[in-house]
Amino acid sequence: MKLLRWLWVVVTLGLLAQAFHVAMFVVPPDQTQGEIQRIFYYHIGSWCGMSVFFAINLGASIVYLVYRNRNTQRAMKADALAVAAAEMGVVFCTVGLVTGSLWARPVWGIWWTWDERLTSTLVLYLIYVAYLLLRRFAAGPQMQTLAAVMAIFGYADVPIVYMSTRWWRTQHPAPVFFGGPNAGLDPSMFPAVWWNLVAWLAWGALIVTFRYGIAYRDQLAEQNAALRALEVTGS
Amino acid sequence: MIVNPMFHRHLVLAYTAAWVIQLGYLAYVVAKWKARKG
Repeated sequence: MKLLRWLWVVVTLGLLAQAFHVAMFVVPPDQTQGEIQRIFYYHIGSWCGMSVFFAINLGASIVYLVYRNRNTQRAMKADALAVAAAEMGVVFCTVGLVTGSLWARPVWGIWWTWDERLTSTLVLYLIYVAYLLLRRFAAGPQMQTLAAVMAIFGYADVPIVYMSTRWWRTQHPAPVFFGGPNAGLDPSMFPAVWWNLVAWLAWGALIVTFRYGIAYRDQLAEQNAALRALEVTGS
Repeated sequence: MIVNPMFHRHLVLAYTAAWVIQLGYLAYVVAKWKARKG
């Protein structure tokens, strides 16, 4: 098991190195933006990572709500996965916002604009930061239930973020995937997109697995402490 | 003239920022793991 874990680490680092190499030195520069367009490969990798891990957070939160009174162990595992996925999603969202801003400055001439895509993304970021703050500072047995409900409502912003460039006229360009005619990338750039998607998802999965183990053990320790406290009170 | 993309300031900043944020989070997770073990 330990060997498998180290193998996963090595494969992930290899994927990241290859993704960096392809993005920087293999695919051609953009015809209009030139070299600066290469930010896109980390930018899209981060957004896809964010979407995947917020979706995992949503699924785990629903599982928690379903099992919290029926199967405590399963509910605890789901809750541990929910917090691990939310943290990773927020990290990817931060990277997406920062790389987007650094890309916008030379291309649009501004660091930030309050268009629908950027604003809805910032709202999404703040929702999940609030979710993590709730988990960090709220006390009592209802905290996990509240967090799970908040995760479900928070995820409602994800489709709004995705659809914002179709519903409104935004400064941000149309989606690369399923964006319709005149949207998307030249096929020669796709290797960099796929390598970065796979590499960053592997990185995210690796850290979420590690974080999940810590969160689950924390919950077991809390449960044991609560049981011991009950025994002391009972005796 | 071929310009090495590694010399583009905003590109380097964006890639560096991405790694700093990701590695910062990894450091937080490792610190949590060490605190649990300790």
